[in-house]
Amino acid sequence: MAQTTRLDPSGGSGRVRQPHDARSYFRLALAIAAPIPMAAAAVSMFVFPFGLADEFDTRLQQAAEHPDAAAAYGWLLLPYAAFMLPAIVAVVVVTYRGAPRLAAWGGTLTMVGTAIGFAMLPNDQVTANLVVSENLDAAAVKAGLEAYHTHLVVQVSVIVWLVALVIGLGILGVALWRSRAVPAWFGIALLVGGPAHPFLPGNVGVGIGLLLAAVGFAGASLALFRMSNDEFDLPPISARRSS
Amino acid sequence: MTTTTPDHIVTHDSRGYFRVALAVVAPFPMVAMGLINIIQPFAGDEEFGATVAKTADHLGAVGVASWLALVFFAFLVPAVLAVAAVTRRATPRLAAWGGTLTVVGFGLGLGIGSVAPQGSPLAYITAAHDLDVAEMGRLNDAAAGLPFLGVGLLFWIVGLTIGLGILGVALWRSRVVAPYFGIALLLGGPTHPFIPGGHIAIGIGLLVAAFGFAGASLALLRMDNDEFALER
Repeated sequence: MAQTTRLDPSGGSGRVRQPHDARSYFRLALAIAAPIPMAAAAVSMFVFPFGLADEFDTRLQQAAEHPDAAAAYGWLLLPYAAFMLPAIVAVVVVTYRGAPRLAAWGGTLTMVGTAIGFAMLPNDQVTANLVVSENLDAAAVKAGLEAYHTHLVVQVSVIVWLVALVIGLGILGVALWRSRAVPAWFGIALLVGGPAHPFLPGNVGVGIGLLLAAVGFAGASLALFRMSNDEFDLPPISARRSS
Repeated sequence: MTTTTPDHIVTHDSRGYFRVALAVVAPFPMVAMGLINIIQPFAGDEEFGATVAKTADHLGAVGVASWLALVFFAFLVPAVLAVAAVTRRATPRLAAWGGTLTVVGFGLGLGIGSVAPQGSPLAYITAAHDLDVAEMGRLNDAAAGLPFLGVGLLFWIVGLTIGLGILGVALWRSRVVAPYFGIALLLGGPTHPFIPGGHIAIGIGLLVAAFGFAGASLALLRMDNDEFALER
């Protein structure tokens, strides 16, 4: 929307610059971003032969047998990392009025836990792929990974990450369901797919769980697409007002 | 909302929680990272072997820093959301640009930057467990050379330098708090990686940025819930 001017309401002869309205941008950006991370993670499970909970030795073997997949694997992590936190914000924005307590709990647990999990927990498959492609000493790297996971700060990070994934996403699913912003099955999809996907069997099982979670996040997208800017957020104000 | 928002059921108002929570956490990440840089005996860009040696000499301090890092990671994006929340109405374009660059960049930095063991966490493990420095150095170099990791770190740097700078201007121009808060964020955020004087100078730069984020806290604590977000 273009920046506009209007007559000064205070009766002055000048014109007051009306601030740009960025609500459409924020609303549509959140709507577009919301399903991307879980969809990308699901595609990763369908496309690549690497399991979610494989032992390090199995990962090394898979990396050696599938060098092209190993080289491509990391790129699908980019959309997941870029948009996971905005996706959480999208669900919170859609549900904070219809299900305020659930949005607050779910949003807090997932936002904090996801960020800590991202930053503190290395991806074992990427590490295994590196060992194979760069001909590193597998035993030494494995010893390093095992040593890393003995530290309390890392163990706390694992717990916070799992709480985000299992409890936080589950609560956001219930929030989406109970807020009635979209049909209930979007919330149920997030409630089931988010918390359950790590425990489903095989890559296809995990991928289906992630896809379900992506459908849940798409519910937030639908709600954001449907609502007007006035239903989405407060209007812009002139910066002068608060000076 | 377009559909059946259950007005007759919902009585709780979470706006106060979100407003105060964002206000409380906003300065934490930069304070934590500022302290990390001050107490750790090395800057982030030193050669791996040198970092391991310095870590071995100051294992306790680096161990404390690893806990402070949790605070940095946990609240970095919420801190950005706090600045975007207080500036979005008065400086919408700046809030949109700054918020987008920082949230996406920081997500990529956190998620991709640590995707394989490298840097100071790997140096700490190497020193604490007396691992083979040469082999861990090879792992560090190999991880740092991953192309997709380079892309993630590029976005991280853009978020840190351009994104935080724009948010600083947004905080300044929005006039929701005194201009020096925005100027502190504008100066401390983008410039801290380039401040000469080693890790302590960088830490001080980050504390200046934390002061800028505290401006968002002040604005959030001053406003009422109706100025913060829509009611039902």
